[in-house]
Amino acid sequence: MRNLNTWLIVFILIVTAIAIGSLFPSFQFLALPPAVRGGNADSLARYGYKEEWFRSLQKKALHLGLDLQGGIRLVLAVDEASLAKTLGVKPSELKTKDISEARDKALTIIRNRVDQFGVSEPLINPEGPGWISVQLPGMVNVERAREIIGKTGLMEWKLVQESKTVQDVLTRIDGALAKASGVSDSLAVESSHLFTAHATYDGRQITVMRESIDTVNLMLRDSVVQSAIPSDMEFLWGRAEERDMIPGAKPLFLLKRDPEVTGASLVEARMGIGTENNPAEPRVDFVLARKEAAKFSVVTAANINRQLAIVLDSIVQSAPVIRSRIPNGRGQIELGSGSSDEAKDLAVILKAGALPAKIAIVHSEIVSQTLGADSIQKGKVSAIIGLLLVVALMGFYYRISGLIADIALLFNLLFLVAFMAALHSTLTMPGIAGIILTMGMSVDSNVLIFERIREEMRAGKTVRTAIDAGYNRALATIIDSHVTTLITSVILFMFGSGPIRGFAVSLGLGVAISLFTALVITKVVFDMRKQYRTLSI
Amino acid sequence: MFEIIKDTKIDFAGKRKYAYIFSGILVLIGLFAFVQVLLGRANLGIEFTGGTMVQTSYNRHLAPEDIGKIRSAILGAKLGESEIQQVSGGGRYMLLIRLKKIEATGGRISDEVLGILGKTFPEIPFRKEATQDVGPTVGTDLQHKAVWAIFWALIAIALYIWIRFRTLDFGIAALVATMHDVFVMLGIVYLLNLEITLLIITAILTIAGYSLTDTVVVFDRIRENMRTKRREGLFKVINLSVNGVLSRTILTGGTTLLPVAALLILGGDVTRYFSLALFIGLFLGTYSSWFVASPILLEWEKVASTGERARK
Repeated sequence: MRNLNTWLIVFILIVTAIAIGSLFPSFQFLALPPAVRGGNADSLARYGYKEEWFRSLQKKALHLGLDLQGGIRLVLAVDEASLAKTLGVKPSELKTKDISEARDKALTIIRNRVDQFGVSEPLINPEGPGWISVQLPGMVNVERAREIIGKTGLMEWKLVQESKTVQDVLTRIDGALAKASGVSDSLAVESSHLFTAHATYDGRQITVMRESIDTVNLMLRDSVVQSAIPSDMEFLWGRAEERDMIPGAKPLFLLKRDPEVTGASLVEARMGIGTENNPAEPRVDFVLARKEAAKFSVVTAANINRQLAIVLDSIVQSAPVIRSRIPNGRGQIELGSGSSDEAKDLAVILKAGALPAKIAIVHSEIVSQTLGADSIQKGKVSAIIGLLLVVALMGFYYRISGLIADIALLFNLLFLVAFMAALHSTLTMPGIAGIILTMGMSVDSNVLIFERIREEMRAGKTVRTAIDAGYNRALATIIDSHVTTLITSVILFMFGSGPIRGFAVSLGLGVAISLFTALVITKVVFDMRKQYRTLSI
Repeated sequence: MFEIIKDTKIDFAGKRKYAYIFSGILVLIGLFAFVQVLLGRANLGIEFTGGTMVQTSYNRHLAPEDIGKIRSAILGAKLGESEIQQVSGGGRYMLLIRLKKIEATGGRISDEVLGILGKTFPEIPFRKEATQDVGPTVGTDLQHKAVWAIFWALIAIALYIWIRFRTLDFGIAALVATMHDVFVMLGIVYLLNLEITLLIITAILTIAGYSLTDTVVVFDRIRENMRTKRREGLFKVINLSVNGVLSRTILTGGTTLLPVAALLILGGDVTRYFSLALFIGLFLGTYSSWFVASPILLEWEKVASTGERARK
């Protein structure tokens, strides 16, 4: 018996050492200046920390959930209609396998994009057959996140219609609109009903004023207008920041619907500085893969002096006039007044490749860093107060035995947090609630044992036999009473999303560990003394 | 030895009629709330209905008419009805705006709401603290997941009860007590008009699991006493057993209640209603092991004995 106890003590000490060891990176991480913890490369350099060292430390430290450190969570869905179009089937013929394949492809591409984007510790996981969950801790600029993740990244080259065709189509649209309003002579119709009243064509491009953009969008969706546009053509918007245009106005292009070249595979895409018009403007240089480059060469040769629009995600980036054949598949996208960040992001998106289908953001969640820090603070305070209350109650009610249970409780908390760090699980606010609940539940075992011991002592047994009987007879009840909590934890883990999982992990682990700490550790302490005359219980 | 409770002789089984009335009413309310949930009329959180939540902080108190202004501005922007709540603490003010049943995708609605705030009160620097935009499909998906979680949790608990007690009487009584806890929790949530969120469901399931702790303790004692004191009859054995383990059921409940109380008071808004539900549920769990689980054994015995007599 004595021997067994020694072994148990050694075992407990080893486990404790491992636990403290696995928590060491977390302490190290918390000791860093707050500005550095965000993982920003600049502030790391400023404080003289190596980035590699920081990344590996961050990986080993306890992860904080978005609700505690701030950040963005997005759930993306593969757009089934657009996937069906890419695969050339009807939306109803899409199989679950097609969707999950598209999801996996999109997942890899988005992961590549995000990795280059410089967010520390992004979490990108599949969720259900067609969904992807993206977590970007520490990031709060949702607009930029949306750009990087949500863009399809499909580059297409489409020919811009020649001015005569554009003129014809505009006239047809106006005619159709006039007819729809019941007047045969288009001149007699109130001019604001006409398309050309909002979209003016100067022979090179169509310009729409800021206040007319909504109207034109509505008109383009109108079935009357749609039937007036030849089926092999389409209208697409250009970028608002186009040079020498009135602020806020947007160019509109009439393009051939089928792309001449599709840039699904690029050999290279990188940011550059300096365009034809402005040496300080950012641009993105790209090189097409060989097959596309060959096609590009043929198309440019056949359409000299025509405008070829570069379309990205259904927006015309620019529509330069082809001066000569472009043989090597090299090209560039000018970003006008765009920032260099934007150019960098676009290069990342193009290089990572196009998504297999359009992606819709079906859920987004943002938590600011201050709110996260506030939650940590409140969680910390309630955990400490909760712990003190439990410790005090046990010590008050069961005296020295209660203190032994308190020691076991501290071990429980140490092992729990260490386990969570070692398992790379994420600490969330509900997770902290789970830890707090664990404090209360784990001493339950000791209450049951101590009450048994008291009963045995009241029945006249010696202290030693009362202790042993108390442990033996309460054991079955204790294990059983915790099993149901473990069951609910497992089920909450299986069905819950992020924060709920955090709760399930900390409560489940905490209660499981308590079976060791509340039973074994307290028993070891009781067994350290061989002879008992009295027991403080 | 320090004891608060010593040799009590409370007639738990005798008072079961009152408990039945009390529990019956709450269970009925719970069933009503359950039907409301099924009909989609309950106060479900936006994670289930789809919608938008905006949490923003600022520096001065907003009068009720200011909040009315915001509400009508949101209505004016065709974003529908909104629930607006102002919280203050430490010289800071926080506004919680919830829009339900609106096609919220990509976070654009929350941006719109923030834009409306800025336009309504240009002089106040609103700071975005948290936003949530849940699309309708995500909401439906979460609803399904929650229903499955509740279903499997109850099945697993029932299975466990069956394995644990083997006999029909104890098994049925424990199961009835668990279902009782779930429905009463739901009823109380409904009465307090708490929003049914994922966290609230988590709290209900946690309590369903935890309340069995006390039931197991009481039932183990009843079985033990049945072996030695069978002749005194089930009624007396139940009273003897519940009184016998009274201090430990109070203490196990109490040790768990204290940290939950700390969380309730100090834990902030994120976990407020979650810890409130846990807090109420802990009382409920202890209550049901005394007044529901054990008396059901008595009723079961009555039914069983009349059944036997009828067969004779």
